[in-house]
Amino acid sequence: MSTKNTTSEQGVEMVCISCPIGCRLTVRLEGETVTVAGNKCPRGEVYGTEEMLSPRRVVTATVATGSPSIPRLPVRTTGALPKENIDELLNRAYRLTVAPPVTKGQVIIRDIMGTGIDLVSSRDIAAPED
Amino acid sequence: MTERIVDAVVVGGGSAGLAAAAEIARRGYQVAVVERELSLGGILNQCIHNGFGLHYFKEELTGPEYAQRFIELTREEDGIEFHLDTAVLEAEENADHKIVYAISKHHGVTKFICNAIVLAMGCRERNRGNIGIPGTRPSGIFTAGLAQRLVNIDGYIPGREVVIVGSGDIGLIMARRMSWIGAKVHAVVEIQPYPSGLTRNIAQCLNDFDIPLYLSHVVSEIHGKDRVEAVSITPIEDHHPDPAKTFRIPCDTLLLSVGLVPDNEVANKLGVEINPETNGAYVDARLMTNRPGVFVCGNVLHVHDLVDFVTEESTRCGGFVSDYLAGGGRDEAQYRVSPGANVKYVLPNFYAPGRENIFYLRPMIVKNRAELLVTLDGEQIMKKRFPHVQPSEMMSFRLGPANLRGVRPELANVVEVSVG
Amino acid sequence: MENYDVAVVGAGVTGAAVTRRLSAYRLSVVLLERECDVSFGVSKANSGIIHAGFHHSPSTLKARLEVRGNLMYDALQSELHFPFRRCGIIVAAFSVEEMKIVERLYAQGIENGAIGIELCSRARMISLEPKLNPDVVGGLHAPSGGIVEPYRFVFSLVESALKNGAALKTEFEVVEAKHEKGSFYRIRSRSGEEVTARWVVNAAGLHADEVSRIFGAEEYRIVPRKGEEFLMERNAMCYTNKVVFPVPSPNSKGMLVIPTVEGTTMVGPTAVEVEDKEDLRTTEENFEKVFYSARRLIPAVSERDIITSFAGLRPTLEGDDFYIDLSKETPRFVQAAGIQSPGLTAAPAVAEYIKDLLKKGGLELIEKPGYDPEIPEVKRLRELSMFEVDELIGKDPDYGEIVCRCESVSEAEIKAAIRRGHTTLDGIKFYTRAGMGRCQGGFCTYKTLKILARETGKPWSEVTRRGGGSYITRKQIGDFAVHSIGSASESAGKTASKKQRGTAQ
Repeated sequence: MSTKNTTSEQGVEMVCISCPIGCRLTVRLEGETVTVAGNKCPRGEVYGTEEMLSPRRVVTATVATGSPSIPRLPVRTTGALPKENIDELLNRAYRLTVAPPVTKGQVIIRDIMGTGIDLVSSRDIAAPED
Repeated sequence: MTERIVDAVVVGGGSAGLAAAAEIARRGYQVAVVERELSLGGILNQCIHNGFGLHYFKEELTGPEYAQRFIELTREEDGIEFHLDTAVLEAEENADHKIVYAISKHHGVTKFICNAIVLAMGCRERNRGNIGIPGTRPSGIFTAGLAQRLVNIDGYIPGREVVIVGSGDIGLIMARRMSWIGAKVHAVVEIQPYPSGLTRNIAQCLNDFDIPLYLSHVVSEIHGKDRVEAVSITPIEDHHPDPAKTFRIPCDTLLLSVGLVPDNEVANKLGVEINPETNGAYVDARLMTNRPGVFVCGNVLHVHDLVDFVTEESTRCGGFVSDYLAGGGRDEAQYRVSPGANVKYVLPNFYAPGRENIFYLRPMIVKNRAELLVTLDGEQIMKKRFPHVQPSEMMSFRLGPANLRGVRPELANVVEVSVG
Repeated sequence: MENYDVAVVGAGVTGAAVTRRLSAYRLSVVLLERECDVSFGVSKANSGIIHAGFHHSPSTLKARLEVRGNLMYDALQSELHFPFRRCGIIVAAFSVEEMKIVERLYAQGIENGAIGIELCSRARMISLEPKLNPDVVGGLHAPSGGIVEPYRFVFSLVESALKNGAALKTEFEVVEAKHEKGSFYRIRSRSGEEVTARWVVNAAGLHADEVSRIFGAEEYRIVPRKGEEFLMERNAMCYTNKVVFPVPSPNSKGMLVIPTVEGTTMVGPTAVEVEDKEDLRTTEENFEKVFYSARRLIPAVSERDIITSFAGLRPTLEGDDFYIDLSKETPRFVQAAGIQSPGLTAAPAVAEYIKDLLKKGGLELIEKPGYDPEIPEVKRLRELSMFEVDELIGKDPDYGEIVCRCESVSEAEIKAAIRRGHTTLDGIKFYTRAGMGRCQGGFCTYKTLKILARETGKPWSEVTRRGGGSYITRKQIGDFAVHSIGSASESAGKTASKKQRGTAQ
C-alpha cells in the first residue's frame, strides 16, 4: 500500500488530506487544465488541483507568552498557506511574544505574506492574577 | 477533611469527562468533575494540530479549540462543580454510597460521597520498557506524548536529530511537529507491514518533509552512553528480524509512539473487571462496569482515533448515568455482543434489544470494499459496506429495535460482529 | 586545601556505611564519589535482597559479615527510616538431586548462624508460598531474609553521615594520589580538585583495582559480571510473599523472583562476564533465559507485566570472597574490594569491620558527643491513610500536589529529594520512586523538570538524567531556524528521486 505521491501514465496519485477519510486521488495536468478523479466530495477536487499547481497547508504552532504559568499560546492559520511560505511564517512566529490576556480567534499575524490568511490564537488565556 | 455530597463524580476533565458531565448536569443532577491538571481539556490541550471535530462540528478544529467548545458548554450548565489541580487517591464503596478521595494543595483531602462514578481518565503511553528495546539507557528517549507536551505546552525542543518508533498518529503528528520546530526527523520505523496511523497523516506529516517510513522494521538496539547517539534498525523478513541487514542511523533523540493503554489505576481500586483485549473495562449496554453505578467512557474504556467518537460515547454514557441515578434501566434485558471473524473487539459487550444501541469496533484486517456482518444467534440481521477498513480506524454501527426483532427471552440472543 | 583524617573513595553502600560509622567519632571524614550522586555505581542496579546467611561457606569473610549485617537492619531502619521488610527467603528444589544441594545450604546456614532456618516439605513450601510451581518437591526457608529499597538505604546512610559532620564530594573521580611526607595522601580528581587525608578507605566498587593502583597499593583485577533484571508492575499476579530462589549453580545464586518492598516484582539477574566496566546494555537473548527460569519457580510470571529492564555490574574478584584488609603495600590504606552479593546485606557489618581495621592500624577513635544516629523521616504519601494525608497537607501543602501518578509521589517528597542534593532525574527517581511506576516517567517528567528548575534556580537545559552529558532538553522553540522543506520543495507534479533503503510498498 503506497501512500507516497507517485507519477504514472494516469497522472499523479496522491492522498487527499482534507479530512480523515483520505481518498486516493489521481490528478492530471494537461496544459493548464487539472482533472481530479477518486474524490468523494468537492473538497477533494480543490485539494487535488491546489496540490498540483500550488500546494497549501494549514499550519499550527505555538508562540511565546512570557507567562511562566502558561508559557505557550497555540496558534493556527485561518486557511491553508502555500507550502513555500510555511518556514518563513514559523520563523516569524517563533520570534514573537504575545502576553495574556488573549482571546480565541485573536489575530496574531495579519495577512501572512500577502496571502489574505491570518495567524490566530487557538484558545483564551486569562490575564495573569496579581 | 472536606465532604462533598453529589450525585455523580466524573474522574477526568478531558473530552470524555466534560461530555459526560455536561449530559448528567443537563438531566438535572449534581456532578463533580475531578481533574488533576490546572486546566480542563485533558490531552486536547497539547494537541495543537487541527483535525478535530470534523464529524461533530463539521469543522476542523485544533485540540484546544475543540476543548474550549466543551468547556464553554459545561459552563452553561448549573449543577457542575469543577475541582482542578485535584488528584483522586482512593475510591471505595460501602452499602449505600460510593466514596472518592481526592487531594489538592489548597483543600487537602476532599471526600466525595456519590451514587455514581464515571471513569474518564484517558490513557497512558506504552514505553521502552514495555516493548523491550535492547541497548544502553541514555537520556533522549521520550514517549511521543511526553515530547508533545514538552514542545507544545512548555516550548522545549527535546532534541535535534530524531528517529521515531511507531507510525501511529501520535508519532506521525510529532514527526511534523519536530520538523516545524527546526529538528530533523531521520526516519519513522514501523514493525507492521502497513502504517498504523491515518493515511492523511502519512501524507502531511511524512511525505511533506521527505521523512522515510521503514515498514516491517524494528529498532533493534539503542546506542549512546549519556545521551542517545544512534539506533540500529533491522528489517523483518518472513516474520523474523534479519540481523544481517541491520543499519544504523545516528541521532540524539528517540520518540516512541508504540501504543496507548487505558489508565486503570482508579478502576483497579474499585475492583472493576478489565478486558485484556482492550485493556479497558468490560461494560454492559449502559457502559456500566461489573461494579453497579461505576461507568466508563472515552479512552480509558478503549483507545479512540477520533475525539468526535469520544464525545458521542461520553454524552451517551452521561445519559445512562442519569437513567441510573433516576433508578431506571436496572431491569433492562441485556444480551451478549461477541467479536466474530477479523474483529479484535466490539464495545459495549452487551446490547439492550428495547432501544437504540451504538457500537464501536476495531477490525484486524486491511481491506478495500469490506463488509460488516452482524448476526443474531447465527442469523444475519445487518450488513454494512465500508470502502476501506484497517485496524487503525475504528468502525461504528447501530442496532435498534427494528434490527433486533428476532430477540426472544428464551434464546441466547448472542449478537456476533464480523468483518470480511 | 581541605585536609581530612579519612577519605572514603566510593559512595556506594560500602562507602556510605563506613562513612556513617566513622562520623560517630571525632574525625573529619570526606566521602569521594566520581558520579554526580551517591549510589550511582554498583549500588544502583541491585536486587535489594537482605540475605539470610546460607549461600556462602563459613570459611569466607562474606558469610560472617552477611549474617552479622543481616541482624543490624532492624535498628538501622528505626534510625534511618528506609523501606525494609523481613519477608523471608525460600529456596525451591524440583528434584531429589536439587534437594541434596538444599540440604547442604541448610547445613551451611546452621553453621553460619542463620536464625530460624528450616528444611521444608513440599506441603510446607506451598503453604509458605502458594504461588510456587506445584512441581516443587521441597526446599528451605530462611525467615531472617528480607527486602530493602537499596538506593534509599544508601541515600539515608549518606544523609546521616552528613548530618554528623562528614563531607561529601560528588563528581570527584580520583585520578592521582601521592603519599607525602610519610603522613598524608594528596588526592586529586579528574577536574583538578584536591583534598588531603591521613587515612584512605578504598570502596570504589568496579574501579577498586584502579584506585588501588593509583595509591600504590595491591595489584588485583576487578572483572565486571553483568546481571540483567526485569521489573514487573506493582500488584502483578506474580507478586510473592517470599523471595524465591532456585537451587544455586557454581557460578551464581540463580535467577530469582523477588517481591520488592515497593510492591513490584523483579525477575533475574543473569550473570555474564563482560569486558567493559561501563557496559550496561540490556540484550534480547537474556529475556528468554530469565523468563524461563522465573516461570519454573512461579508460573504466574508474565511478560505482559514488564515495565522495564535494566542491567548492573558486579565487581568480581578472583577467589570470590570480600577483600577487606589493611594494605600491606601502602600505609593507612584499607581495601574493601570485590564487594558483590551479599554486599548490601553485609554493609553495616563491613562498616564495623573496617572501623576495627582502622583502629587496629592506629587510627584514634574518640566518640563524638552529640552524634545523632537518626535522620528525620520523610513521609510517603502512598503509605498514609486519608486522615493522615489530610493532616499532612494542612502542615505542608506540597503534599497535596501529586507529581507521579503511578506511584502517588507528592511535590513535598520531590522537594525533599532535591534539598538532600538529588538534583538529577535518576537521583529524584531513586529517592522518591517518581518515574518508577507503570508509565516510567511519561506523565511526571515535565513536572519534575519544572520543580527542579524552580528549586535549584537552574534552567531546564542543565537538568540531566544522571549527570555527565545526559541532558534532557537543551533548546527552546526559536533557538533553531526552521528549514522544514529543504530539497523537497517541489509541487506534486515532480517525483524527486530519493535513496530509500528498505521501504516496503
